[in-house]
Amino acid sequence: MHELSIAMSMIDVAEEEAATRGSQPVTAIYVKIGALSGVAPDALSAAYELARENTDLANARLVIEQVPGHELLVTALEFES
Amino acid sequence: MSAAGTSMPRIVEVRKNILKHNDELARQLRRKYADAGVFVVSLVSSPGSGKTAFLEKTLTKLAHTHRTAALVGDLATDNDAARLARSGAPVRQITTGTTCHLDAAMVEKALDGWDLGILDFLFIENVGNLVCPSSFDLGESFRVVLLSVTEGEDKPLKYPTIFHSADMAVITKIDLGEACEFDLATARDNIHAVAPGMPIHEVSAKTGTGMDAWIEFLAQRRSAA
Repeated sequence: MHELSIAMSMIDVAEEEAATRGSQPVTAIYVKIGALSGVAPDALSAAYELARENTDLANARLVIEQVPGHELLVTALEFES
Repeated sequence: MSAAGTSMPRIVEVRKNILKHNDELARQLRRKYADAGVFVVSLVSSPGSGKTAFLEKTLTKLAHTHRTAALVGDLATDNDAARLARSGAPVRQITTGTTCHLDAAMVEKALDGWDLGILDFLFIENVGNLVCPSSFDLGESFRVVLLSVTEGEDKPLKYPTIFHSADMAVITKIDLGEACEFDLATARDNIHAVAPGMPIHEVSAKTGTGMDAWIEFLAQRRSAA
């Protein structure tokens, strides 16, 4: 279950990026997960539900796009406007 | 577009690697290892595949000609560090608690205070797990995945990611091959099906079979690095 480590890294990256883009709440995080990355999307979603508590992403949906290859990317953030 | 006072959410493109902190730290470690001239070999496998016995023999054999040290990761206990210390090499245990893999930060912390400049080889034995360690770069020069004959020939097909992430495969406990009806040719084919061209060594840490060839291979890789 290294998806918890992955979820926590994902939130760190998103918080960092969000901080450089103003102070509006994040409403969604978009990620790409490669089939060869060793990360299981369902496990990542479950881990994210736990990891996001008390972070800047506490109210942000996780949107996972499954892709071929090794990619593990935060691709976009959605902010309340 | 907003219309009549309602507003649309704002989506901002980011494109950042989820593991960027680990990868950055791993890059720093890799530079540090290169500056110190130490060749860093990590070992990954499922629990019980013989990593510690293999590493103990490796450290003991290398002690004649090289200066070595080892880090060993487990969820709990320092049993493996105690075993490896019998080789005479400096050893540190990393206990990860509940985490199923090492990461670059754990390695950096464990290396604190060690003079890497006096070492020829540093070995990092990961937590026994064929899934989780594959995503985490530790800055190692060379990653070895172990497969014991007791696990069956199809492990590489079941866990392709970790085999794919490694630079070399070592088949361990070959002294038990016959008893386990292990088909070496099939195992080699399966490794190459997920990692074409990957070098494969066959060893028994218990009887010593294949160990000298492995030590020679390591020394060559280190000189070539």
